[in-house]
Amino acid sequence: MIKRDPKYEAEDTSHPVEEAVRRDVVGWQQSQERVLRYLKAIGVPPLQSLEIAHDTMKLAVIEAAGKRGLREHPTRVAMRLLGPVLAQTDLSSQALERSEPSGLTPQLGQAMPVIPALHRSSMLPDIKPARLFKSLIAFLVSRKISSGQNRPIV
Amino acid sequence: MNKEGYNQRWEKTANRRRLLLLVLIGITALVASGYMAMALPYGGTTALETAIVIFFALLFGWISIGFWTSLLGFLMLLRNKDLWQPTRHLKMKPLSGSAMPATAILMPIHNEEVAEVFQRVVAIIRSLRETGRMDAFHFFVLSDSTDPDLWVEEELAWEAACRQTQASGALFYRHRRPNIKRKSGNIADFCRRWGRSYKYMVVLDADSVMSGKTLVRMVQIMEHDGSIGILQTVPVLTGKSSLLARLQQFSAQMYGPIFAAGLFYWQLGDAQYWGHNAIIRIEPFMKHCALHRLSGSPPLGGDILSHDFVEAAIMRRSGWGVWLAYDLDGSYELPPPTLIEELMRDRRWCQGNLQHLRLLFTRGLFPAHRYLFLNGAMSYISALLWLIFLTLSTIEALAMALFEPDYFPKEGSLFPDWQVWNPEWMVVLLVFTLIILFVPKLLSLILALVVRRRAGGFGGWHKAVFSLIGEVLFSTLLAPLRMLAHSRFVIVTLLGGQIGWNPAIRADRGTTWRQAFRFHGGGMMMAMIWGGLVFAINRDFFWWLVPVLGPLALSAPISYWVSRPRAGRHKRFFMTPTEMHAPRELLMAQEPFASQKRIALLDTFADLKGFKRAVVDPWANCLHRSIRPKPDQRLSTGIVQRLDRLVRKAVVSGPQRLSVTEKKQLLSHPFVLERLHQEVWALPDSELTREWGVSD
Repeated sequence: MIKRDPKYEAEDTSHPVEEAVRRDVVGWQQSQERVLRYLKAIGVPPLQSLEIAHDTMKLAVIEAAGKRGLREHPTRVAMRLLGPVLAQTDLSSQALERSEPSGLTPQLGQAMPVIPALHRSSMLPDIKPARLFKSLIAFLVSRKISSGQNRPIV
Repeated sequence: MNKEGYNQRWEKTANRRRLLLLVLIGITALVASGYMAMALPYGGTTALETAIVIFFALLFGWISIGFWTSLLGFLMLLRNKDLWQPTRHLKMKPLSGSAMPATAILMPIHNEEVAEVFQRVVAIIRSLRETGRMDAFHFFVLSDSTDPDLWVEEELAWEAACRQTQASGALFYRHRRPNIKRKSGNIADFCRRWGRSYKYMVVLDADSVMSGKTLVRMVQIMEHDGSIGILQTVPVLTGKSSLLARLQQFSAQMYGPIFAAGLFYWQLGDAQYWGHNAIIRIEPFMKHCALHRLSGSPPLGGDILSHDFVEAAIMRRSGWGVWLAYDLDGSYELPPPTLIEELMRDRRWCQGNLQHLRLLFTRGLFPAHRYLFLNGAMSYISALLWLIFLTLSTIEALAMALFEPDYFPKEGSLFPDWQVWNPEWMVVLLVFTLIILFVPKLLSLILALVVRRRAGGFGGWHKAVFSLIGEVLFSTLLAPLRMLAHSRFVIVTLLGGQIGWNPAIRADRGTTWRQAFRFHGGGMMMAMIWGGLVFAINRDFFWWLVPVLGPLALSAPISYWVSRPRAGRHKRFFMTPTEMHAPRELLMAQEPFASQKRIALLDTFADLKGFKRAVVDPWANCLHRSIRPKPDQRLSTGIVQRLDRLVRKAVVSGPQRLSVTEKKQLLSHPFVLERLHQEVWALPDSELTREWGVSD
């Protein structure tokens, strides 16, 4: 549910960007906090976070202004646009506080092998266990088997 | 000498030693049951008394196996050498130098405490690194965890362990979704995928710790002796603080050496494989040791639960030796922290060991392994035999008190048939039994304090002696509780009751009163009724039953008390060498794991665990997606639609409404998890976002 600030509801404004912000001030504040939180979560340093958030919010407001009738929540717009902004920003692993190898792309599996290369072969059962009484009878009536390798399989 | 010739030589020695053991056990059981027959009123001639004597002979034979094994082990350790010792060639061999074949260390886990498991993994890797031979080893954590939260935590811990030990490329993690054949299936799955890349594998348990030096030594033994298929170490129990755990740690470290040496004395190359802390030659293991399901349904059919004994028997049957490296140290495991947890483990083992009876007559197995199957089953059946023996004795005592003796059972007899209890014979028998039970403990004390001069490891002479007396008292107190539980397990298993695959609880959390009464309540009632009846009818016999019925009547308080973590914290008694002079690898295994430190530093998602963390934390989400294998083929439209509905449900209803299966489905598809991550982060602030953890 989009919250609207009633103060700005009735005001007439000619600038579409300002109007988009006035329409849902709380929503835009939340979206800004969300973007900053996400940037903190991926370990972007605070100053760089502010820059990225600023770029993202600017783009989000412009987009919202252009789609006045669509009523998409600012958080959704901002988070959707954060991805492309991050993709354009140079976020080398050194820049990230969390010191993980990569930011948001799933490339860890290549940098840090989770399993080695497969070297497949089969492993099939050698002995099929017979039922107890059947094996007992076979055991009692069979001849003595010599010890050593590869004893016969039941 | 070729493998066949070598096997024939040790087989001859083993046969001689086993014959000696058999004769000693037979004589002991025969003499004791003779005394028993003489002590009974009718001299063992009635049907009831004959049954009593038979059960007594079986039980006495059973306990004398332990006695003679320990005595022979003691004598062997006094000599301090054996021609067949697998470690005999290692005395002067350096750890470094010769080339080492590729060896995999496997740690199969199933819904375990993640941080503790990875603490041990890190400790083993660090210990291996100190030997300078880490390059020859690869470490695999093979997860069968079914809990989605633990699955994610394991991945995060694996990554943290890789960074902490700088073992990326040597420490691997695999999560298996269908848990076919449990642990044995997990190992077999490893063998099928990567077995050909390695010559040996060291199989661990989730609670195992091994020193790097021991791991290297094991590979060297395998390399030196090409006839060994499995080399089993003797894991030392250590690391827990409840009274029960400390008792077990003390007895394992005090009595374990002579018992292990005794086992080695008569088993030689026909030893047991205990399923962990052992090294296995992979090629013959893959060729011969895959296990069939047993026909029929569980508990006695289906998957073989105690696969280790069977694998050892098959390995031996294929011509490879299975040896116990009784003198190789640096191998550790945790004891169960509570009595109930110990008994639940025994419940699983009981089912597994009773299954082995079905394999008893499988053709081609060596007699020693047939005996080991029987021995494993007898570990539990003996409890039932003891219970039956006590019941029969009670019936006899009650019959003597209730019914008039028949002095002329045979018609026309001129002489009366006097029925006389011979309590003096009973006392002799009691002394005889005490010798059989407690002399091995005394020999262990002599070995530790006098021969090896290791009193310091047990806290000094006085503490060692008092601890031994305390251990004897506690084991006497706990024996009836174990007897009754094991008897119940045998009966339930034979009647078709089965047990699931519940994870072992290893944390020192103690037992609640409720749990204690729920588990032991039936036994307490039975003991009180039994005791009351005997007390009312035959008071003399009642006092003979007190050592058994007394602890049973107090089962719940005893169980609660010995399982309390605090009860073991008074470290004046039951001290052990691993506690007094903790080996480096154990100290390392107690250090806090790196991921715990990291979580403390990064407070953003400190409260998020498992599945929620994989959805919300961008980094955890990314890690999970990169670990999951990419799908081989495109998913069908139906599956995609179902996953779409699941994402919608997660976004609209929140994580609490998702079932375990739904969470696992979401985690299983990287693209779905990525979408869910984006959707959750794009949610407007609400109760739902607070539930997910993306807003305050």
